[in-house]
Amino acid sequence: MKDREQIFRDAFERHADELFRHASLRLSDRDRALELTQECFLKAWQYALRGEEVREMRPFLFKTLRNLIIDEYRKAKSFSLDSMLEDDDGGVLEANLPRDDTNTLEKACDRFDGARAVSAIRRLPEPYREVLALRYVDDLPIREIAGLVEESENVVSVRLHRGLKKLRAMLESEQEQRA
Amino acid sequence: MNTMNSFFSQLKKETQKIRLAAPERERMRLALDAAMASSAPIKSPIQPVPSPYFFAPRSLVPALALILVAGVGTSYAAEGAVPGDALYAIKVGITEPAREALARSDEAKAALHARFAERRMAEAETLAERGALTAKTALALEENFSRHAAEVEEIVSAVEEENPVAAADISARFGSSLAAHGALIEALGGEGGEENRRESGKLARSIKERERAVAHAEREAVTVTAERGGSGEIAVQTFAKDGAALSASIVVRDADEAVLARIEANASTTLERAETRFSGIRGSLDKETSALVEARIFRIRELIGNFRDTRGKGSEKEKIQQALKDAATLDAFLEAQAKFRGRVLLPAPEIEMFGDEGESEDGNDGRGGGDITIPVPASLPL
Repeated sequence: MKDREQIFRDAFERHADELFRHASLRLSDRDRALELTQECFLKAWQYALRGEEVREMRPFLFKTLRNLIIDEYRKAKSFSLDSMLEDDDGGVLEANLPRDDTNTLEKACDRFDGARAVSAIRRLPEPYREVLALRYVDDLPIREIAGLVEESENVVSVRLHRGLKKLRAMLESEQEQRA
Repeated sequence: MNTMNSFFSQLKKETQKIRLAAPERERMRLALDAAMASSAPIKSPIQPVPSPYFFAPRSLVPALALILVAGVGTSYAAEGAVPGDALYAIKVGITEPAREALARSDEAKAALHARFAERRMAEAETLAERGALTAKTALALEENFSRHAAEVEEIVSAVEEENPVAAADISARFGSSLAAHGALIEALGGEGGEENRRESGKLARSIKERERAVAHAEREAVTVTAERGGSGEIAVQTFAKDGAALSASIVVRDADEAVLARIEANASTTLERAETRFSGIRGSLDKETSALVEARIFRIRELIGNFRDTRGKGSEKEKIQQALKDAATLDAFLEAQAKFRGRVLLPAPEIEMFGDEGESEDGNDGRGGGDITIPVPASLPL
């Protein structure tokens, strides 16, 4: 059996940054993101100590972090079950968007500085923020995201799609306000 | 979806900048190291570091053994260091603060500080036994010890109001541990060079002072509780129908009862541990010493069994605290006996323990130096 402690050390060196990145996209507070990242590794270690088997480190760490973030939301009460179940009004917003992509929005987005992109993703409501961050920032395949959030791949795809629409709508209305 | 592609490439580029800063990463690494080194949750302030196997499921024992034997991190190796060792700075300067940072609840913090204070005492014991306790190391140890002990006291007084049971539990354990180690350092430092003797004596004295302070704070707390109980009862008499006042006085009484039960449980476990230790090293002890230890165990067990007996001096709490203190002292001496093989330490604690007991029988603050009193606690129901 390979040295468990060493596995954890390697996992820390390899994944600490991306877990922290994910946490800080999901939480507004950098310090809390730091704490949750640390907590994530400690929890995972304790889990392993109890003799539970960890098959794949990365999904396992993401899962642990996810649970911590959910707890955090509950504590903050900034996140209710209602908002999670809330059906999106993407259809309506979609109708408001111009048919083609050759509009002013594109030019605006080209000028998008990264900071605004980050701020936009942070303002996206859950659960869209979660799947979008996992997919486009953490580069997790849809299959893994599905395992993580305990939904079917289909649900994840739909959620991603709706999230994208929401994001577009958000950027668009922002653009209008600027104009 | 050009727009979105551009958006996501920007997002990706920007988020790559979100990283742990080097010190943040380092701090986390240390926290993880500390968690791995301790392997098991910290249970009580008195318990010596439990075997890491103790909390691990059987299936994991070989893996843990491997980790301990082969892949030991520096911080783990540093755990056994004493002042003067190369790794000591890591132990005191890095792994301990890292663990401090990890403790969340007040109780966990107090337990941790108590344990670090105990470590300083244990280090002093190791050095005193080697005859290597110099003025400089003694001072450093004492400073660190006082810092942790002060933290314990502070937390206890902060928790007092909210959770009197936990506060009393912590201070009873810590107090008993101080009594045990103070006596042990004195006994161990009795030999060796002049400096070693002097420094051990000084250290033992300041530990005892600390113990008196803890005991004193504890007594004040008892008084406060008693007053509160009293006023509660008055309230009950005056406003017999006032449910709130009634429940208040019941809560106070229950808290007292819970304190007694906790201390009793602690005393029993500590005594059991001492007995296990004793049966482990019995072969290496001479008959006389074994007999002394047996007598001591018997006496403590009696004290635990009869502490509720209202005859004799001292409150229930004082008696059971004395039992805990005696058990902890016996345990500490037996542990030292096993650790410093070849030195017979045991007759010394007899004297010291009875000295303590005699003093506490007088009741109040007369806990002077280590006067040797006759080893018969006259007021104890036998």
